Amino acid sequence: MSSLVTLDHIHKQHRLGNQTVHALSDVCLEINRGEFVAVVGPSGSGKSTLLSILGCLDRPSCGSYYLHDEDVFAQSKIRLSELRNRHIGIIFQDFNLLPRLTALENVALPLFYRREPMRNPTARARAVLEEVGLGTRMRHMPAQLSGGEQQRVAIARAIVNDPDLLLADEPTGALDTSTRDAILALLDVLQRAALTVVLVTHDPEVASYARRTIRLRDGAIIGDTGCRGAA
Amino acid sequence: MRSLSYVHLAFRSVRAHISRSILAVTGVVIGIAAVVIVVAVAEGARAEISRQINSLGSNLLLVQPGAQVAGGVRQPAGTVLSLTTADALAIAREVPDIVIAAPFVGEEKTTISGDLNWSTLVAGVTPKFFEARGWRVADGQLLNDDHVASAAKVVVIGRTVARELFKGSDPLGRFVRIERSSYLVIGVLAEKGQDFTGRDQDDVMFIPLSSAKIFTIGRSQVNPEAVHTILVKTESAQSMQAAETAIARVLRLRHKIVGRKADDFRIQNLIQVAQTSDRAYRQFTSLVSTLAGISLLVGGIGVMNIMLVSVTERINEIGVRLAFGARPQDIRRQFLLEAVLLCTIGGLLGLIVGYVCARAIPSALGWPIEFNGQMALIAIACSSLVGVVFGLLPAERAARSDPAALLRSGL
Ligand SMILES: Nc1ncnc2c1ncn2[C@@H]1O[C@H](COP(=O)(O)OP(=O)(O)OP(=O)(O)O)[C@@H](O)[C@H]1O
Ligand SMILES: [Mg+2]
Repeated sequence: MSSLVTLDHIHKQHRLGNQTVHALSDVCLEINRGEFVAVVGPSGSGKSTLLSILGCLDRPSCGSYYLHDEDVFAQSKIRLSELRNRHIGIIFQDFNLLPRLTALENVALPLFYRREPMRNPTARARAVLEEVGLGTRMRHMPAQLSGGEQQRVAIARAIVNDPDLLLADEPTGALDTSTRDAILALLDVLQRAALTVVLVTHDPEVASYARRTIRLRDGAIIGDTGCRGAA
Repeated sequence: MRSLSYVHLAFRSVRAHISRSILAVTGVVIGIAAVVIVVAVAEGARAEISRQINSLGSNLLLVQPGAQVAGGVRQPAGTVLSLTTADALAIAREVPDIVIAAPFVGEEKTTISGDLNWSTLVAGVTPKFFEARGWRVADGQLLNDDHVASAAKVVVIGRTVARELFKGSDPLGRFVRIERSSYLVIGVLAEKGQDFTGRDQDDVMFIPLSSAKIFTIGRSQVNPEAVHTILVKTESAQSMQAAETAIARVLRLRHKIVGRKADDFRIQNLIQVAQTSDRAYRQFTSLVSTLAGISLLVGGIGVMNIMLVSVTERINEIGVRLAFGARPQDIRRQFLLEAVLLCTIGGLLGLIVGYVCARAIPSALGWPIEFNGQMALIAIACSSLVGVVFGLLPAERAARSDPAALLRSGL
């Protein structure tokens, strides 16, 4: 297999009391290295669920997920942590920066949990913050930053460990349109620098930045513009 | 990243909720303070006992008349005057490993000098008594064998007696009246302080045993040779047990006690007496130990509670850490360390509070205290142990939280 991500008949059920919610049903998907994929669909269609499985944050009820030909959910918890640390970066709608750490420390967080230590982690974190245009805000606390700036810090944190896969759940949902465009432009730059980006959104305009769009409804893929994607 | 190290993180998060954290560790503070007090009092008692044992003289046995147990009822010592000077001589002669067997008679008397009077213990002894106890004079001289042989009317007085009867003037060469006789003061003993029963060991005066029998005290119609106590000094601490048995054998033979008949004397080991005399300390320390235990338990639960609240509040932080590569054990370690830090801060505060409280004990309760470096170690060890024990559950809960919840916040 040459693809970075392969999802093989993924199902995800949530149990709510005696009721079972099918968040994902029979999702098969391949994403190649360097793709820019948007996942769209109505609220409750399973977009975040799909992203949390891709991010190794949640286990599917059944089905397999291969990242780099590695069967993710056959791995130990320790290995899963390492996959999250080294191969995946995540961006959230509400940024999820740690409020008591400075911008620089937030960015350095994945380096702190890196198994094989880096020679100069602070320099690396600083370089990435400069890359996202926040070289002058390193010592700021998240509360002292604007929404757009916070999301840039979050992006820096997601890419600081050079992941293969960048996942974003409504990254611009909490931002105004001009900030939104700046953030999307940044993601576009990153993607062109050989990063694979999967972006969940409601917004068709946001989805238009992506080169491939996957549509979800009721937990199933109902459309995929990607030529090599399996529906 | 040094600034992200676990210890640093723990400090930050404790500091972020400083007043809440201090409230949570109040129990630990009280508990550790109680631990410090217990240790200070116990150490003080131990130091005091060994000091007293030193002042009593080492390797001493006390032989006193009276049945050890008569019909299950212990008779007060000295009600039957069964011991004699000859017994003392026999013990010295026949029991191996004995250095000294010193006879002693004593009675509380009112003594007079000029227009001052003072009630004190008047004891009739031989020079061997001073040797056994290792007592020396500060001024003048001790009783000697000539004084005993001639039943001289001389007296060696303790510091307290000197102070009460002579009010600062030099007692040497002056006279003390005991009953109808006057005694020349030939020596003042060096100061010794209180013994383990709290009795003032300087409130005493010594006259020759022979003089005491003739003029003043210990005259028994039944047994003119009777003495109140024979003080026995053995060669070493190891020989005390054997000496005790041998003395009993000698005395039973001399007193013609045979078969299952009870002894008419009793033998006490002064060190054992001193060690069992600290019942009040023991009651106090066991009470405060209980308080320490309860406080540490309450404190631990307080810390556990605050940590559980903290885990709930920081569920997002935990999720973020997990999402960026923290292993469950990293999260566990972080929260455990925070609980330990919280408790250790409580322990340090408790150390200070305990120190201040313990300082007040000697004047409030009259007990000696003793501080040492070990105490700080015990306090820190106890409090961090509380942190570990009561931090486990919150840390475990934190380590098991579900990072997928991060993406659900939009729902
Ligand atoms: N922990 C859970 N327990 C029960 N049901 C859940 C749980 N998580 C998700 N669901 C359900 O699974 C379905 C898919 O949820 P998901 O969060 O993936 O939707 P979404 O497409 O991201 O929606 P939105 O656009 O509103 O964020 C929903 O019906 C949701 O109610
Ligand atoms: Mg969602």
